[in-house]
Amino acid sequence: MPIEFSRLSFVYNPKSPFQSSALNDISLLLPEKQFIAIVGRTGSGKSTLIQQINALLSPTSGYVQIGDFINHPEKKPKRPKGLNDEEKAAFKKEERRIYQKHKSKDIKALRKRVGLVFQFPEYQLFEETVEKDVAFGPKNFGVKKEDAIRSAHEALLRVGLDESFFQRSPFELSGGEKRKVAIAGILATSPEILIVDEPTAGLDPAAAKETMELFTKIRDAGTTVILVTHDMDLVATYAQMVVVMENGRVEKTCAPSELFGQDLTQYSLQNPRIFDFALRLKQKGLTIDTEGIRSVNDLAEAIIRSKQNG
Amino acid sequence: MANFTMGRYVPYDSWVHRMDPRLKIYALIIMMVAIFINYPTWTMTYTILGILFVFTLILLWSARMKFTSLLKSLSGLWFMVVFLLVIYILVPRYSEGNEDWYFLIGNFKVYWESLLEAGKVFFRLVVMLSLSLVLTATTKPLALTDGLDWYLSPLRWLGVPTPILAMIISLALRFIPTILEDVQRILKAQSSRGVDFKHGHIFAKFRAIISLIIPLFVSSFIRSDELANAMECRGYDPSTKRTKYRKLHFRWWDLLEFVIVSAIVAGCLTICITGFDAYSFFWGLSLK
Repeated sequence: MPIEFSRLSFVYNPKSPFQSSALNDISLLLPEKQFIAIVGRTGSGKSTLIQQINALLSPTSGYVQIGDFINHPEKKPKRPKGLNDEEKAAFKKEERRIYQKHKSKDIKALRKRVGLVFQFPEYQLFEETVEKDVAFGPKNFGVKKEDAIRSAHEALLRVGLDESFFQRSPFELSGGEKRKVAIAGILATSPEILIVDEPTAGLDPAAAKETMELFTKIRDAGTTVILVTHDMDLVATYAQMVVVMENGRVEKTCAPSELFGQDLTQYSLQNPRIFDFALRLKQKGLTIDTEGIRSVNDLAEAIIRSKQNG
Repeated sequence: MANFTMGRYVPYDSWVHRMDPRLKIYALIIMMVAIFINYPTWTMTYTILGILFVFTLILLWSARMKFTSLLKSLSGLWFMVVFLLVIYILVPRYSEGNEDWYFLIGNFKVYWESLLEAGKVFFRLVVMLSLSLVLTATTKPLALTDGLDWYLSPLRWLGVPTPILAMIISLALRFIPTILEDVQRILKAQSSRGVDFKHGHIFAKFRAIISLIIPLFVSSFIRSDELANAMECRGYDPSTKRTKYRKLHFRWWDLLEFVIVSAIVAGCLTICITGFDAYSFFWGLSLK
């Protein structure tokens, strides 16, 4: 399911002293079955953007289309003046296409297909047992109890929590384990698009790596994964496509390697450390090809190549 | 969720905003008295409530609050209105000589005075709520606490730990927006897990609320624990006297406003005590 943003803008608390514009005229196509990273400084509109995909927020103008679902503003825009009949007809047709009324079950269907893992998702746990909490999502989407429990077990095993966790209370787990339970809670609904907001924040390096590898596996199984992050190391290692946001606008959409080597400080971002290291080697006189270095392995190979050549 | 925003502090700059918080609290309390005492006749009650309502509207307008958004936040009261009407319709109420002042619903006598009484109660509620909303929307929570602290300070002589009380109140006020944010966040997280907070039958709604409340409690407990630690780390000691960063100043316009509000309420009280009926006094009307 591709996701298409079309001239989407969003304003928080319109017409009040708290009014603030979060997204500005966003047009963006996110292809399916890719690992996509959305990066940008705090307050650049990343979180607002992903909530549009899940219809948790509705645009102020423009729309976003997810498969056959269109998330549109609550109010239809006024038809601009001075159109001829043909343009009027086109406007009307477009309006009819975009402004379809959503029933609560349509929105539910969308949320089943688009799983959204918020930042610090461990705060959403509430059931008595881990198993029940993970089965909560599927049950909400109308799956029978036994099937929901079964998919909960599968999801828990996928995130690396074995049978011994199923009957425990989610509140007695460690922070990392809670996070895994919460992620399993979304995976259990088997979404076609998985959106994760800063999934590694506050995790220890091993747990962070495990989590990211889990998302890679999920992508390989045919799910679109959208990762919101500041961490360019993660982007370098895992993403296939990167969207850079700044001030509620999309500044750049490209492959991660295209981004590295440019001045990223204007977006309050840094090059991946491994890439910086390669650049430093080059400055110090090592003839090395910095193109496409994304991991320790890449760097090692580049150094070996340069040694063999030189 | 739009209802939550009403009554939240809105940082405009108006004379209502600039009023001394102590004066605002005083005004609210004595206006409440004027709203809730009984006046000699129902015509007088409605007239005075009407005047107080106009006064409230002026305040709303000066504070740049929108009356429509006020109405919206009052629309949550519809259930209460229906409830009131039903109760008052069921209770026969008539004063002497007014026994035949009723109309029939089927075979049931509904006394006009019952309806008037229901109207009074509703009117009072609306005026009272509007006034309270003006207070909270125009006063910074901290200024409000300072004001309350000032009123509580005499109790110190009786051994009441007023600084602690003030701290509790200011923390509670401080955390209202934070907890509302938490509510929003958890609401969104659970919504994306397929919880429907708006539709569904009563049992499903109950489940939905549970999935909101438990995480909310958990995060609130964690937060208060962390806050307590942070306060102790920075040397908070409840038993010592705290100095103030912001001092309250009572200025000449505050005095003017004090006189105006007191005069209005004094007038209302006089009418109440003397049983003065302007309608019969000036125009010789005697309404039922």
